Amino acid sequence: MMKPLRKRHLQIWIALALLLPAGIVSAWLYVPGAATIESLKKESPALLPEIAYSVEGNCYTANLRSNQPGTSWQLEWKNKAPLQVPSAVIYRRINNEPDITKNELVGRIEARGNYIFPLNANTAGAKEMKFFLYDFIHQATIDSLIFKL
Amino acid sequence: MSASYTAVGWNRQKKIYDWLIAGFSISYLLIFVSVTAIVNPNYTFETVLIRSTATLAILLLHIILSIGPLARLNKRLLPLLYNRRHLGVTMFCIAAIHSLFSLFQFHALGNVNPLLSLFTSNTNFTSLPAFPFQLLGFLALIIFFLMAITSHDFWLHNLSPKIWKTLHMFVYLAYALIVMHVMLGVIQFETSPVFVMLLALGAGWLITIHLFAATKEVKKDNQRFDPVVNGFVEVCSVNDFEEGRAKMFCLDNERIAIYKHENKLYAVHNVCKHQGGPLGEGKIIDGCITCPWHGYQYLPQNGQSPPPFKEKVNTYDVKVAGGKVYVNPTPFEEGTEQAGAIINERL
Repeated sequence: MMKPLRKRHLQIWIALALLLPAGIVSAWLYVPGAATIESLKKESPALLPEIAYSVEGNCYTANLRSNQPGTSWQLEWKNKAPLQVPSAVIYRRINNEPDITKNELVGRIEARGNYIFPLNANTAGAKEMKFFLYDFIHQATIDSLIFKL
Repeated sequence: MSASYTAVGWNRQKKIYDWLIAGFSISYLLIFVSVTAIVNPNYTFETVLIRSTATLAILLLHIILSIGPLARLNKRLLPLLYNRRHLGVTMFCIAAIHSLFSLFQFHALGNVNPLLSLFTSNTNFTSLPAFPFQLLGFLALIIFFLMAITSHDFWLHNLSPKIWKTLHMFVYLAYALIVMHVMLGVIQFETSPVFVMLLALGAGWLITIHLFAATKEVKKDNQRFDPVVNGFVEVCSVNDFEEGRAKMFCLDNERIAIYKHENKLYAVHNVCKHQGGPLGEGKIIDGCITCPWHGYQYLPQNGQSPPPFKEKVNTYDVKVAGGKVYVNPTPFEEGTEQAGAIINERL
């Protein structure tokens, strides 16, 4: 290796030593908070006993489950047929927020399988729960579900 | 070193090395698929293939980028450097499988051309969390592709070592693109601190060893010598040499390799004509200075490659006096015959 090449290697790695940590930290800081908890959650072994409401889609069944006093809630998602998108996320609408990605991230589903997502129990005074099935690769809403309470 | 171009210059060592690469890669993919099938049976085969090839390609990229500085820090690792090309091409092939299946799974199910969909489905260039991360991976793949198809002496010769080396240094840009492809892609939706920690650990490791090796080289380049006397510079003691090996000194802005061979010292330009390899880090094999990078050879007496090869490097005047070694930093023409400086063992 020639001296100018050695110098260029050093310059490149000094630049990478500054840029790579900055890029990693910046991207890490922007990771949606709920996703770190919810998207990796395993299927819950304890289903809540009551199916309060149910929605039948072409490819899925979604059940809103609760306990007897209505203090705990779950969203049960069953894929009846493979979704047309390989993976998607579910958002719960909060305060009529128009930007879907700023709503509450409930969890992630793949093309197949059954999923249970615990929900924030704060439903006092709410007349409905609205959810969106969102394709994050194409940044598009696939479907929306409304459960009237 | 070969007198003509062959598609792949295999020898016994390279075959063993390639079998090891293939064995490791296949084992890794099988283990990844098996563990996923047990732990998470809901995943489709395409998803598992995309993830297994992605992680394997990143792991191989880290190994590839570690070889250069590690070989500079420890000469016993030089054989890895000699075989690095095959590892690079393997890494590209695995990354290409990942890309093809990703393109199929994420962009081929609609009515838009998959490549068009790749470039147009997400244009949030001003948003960090929603950034079109797939494009970063695609750009990195283009760089790996160009590197893979030019990883041959035919292209090295026809592009010239300077252009070839410049092209291959784009691997560092590709690495940065891959890191951000992962951080802005899968990490945004598949968040476990473990993934980020592994990626940060890999980047930290590469930055540390590259800066450490580069700093060591810069120190060697900046070593000061006593002023020139009668055209000669004192560089070291005759006792510092090992038979068949060299010491390098940076004089007149470039390194000179002084080799000890059959009780004589010979000085040649340190830069190999093939790919700019450090001749002083090689050794004498069959009476020839042998470059540690790709085995190019030069006679120590005249800096010429043995026939039928035509490569030549500069030679230098070297002398021994009072147990000290002196070099004239003004080079002779490439391939100029030199008698060498006789070492008096009694000194």
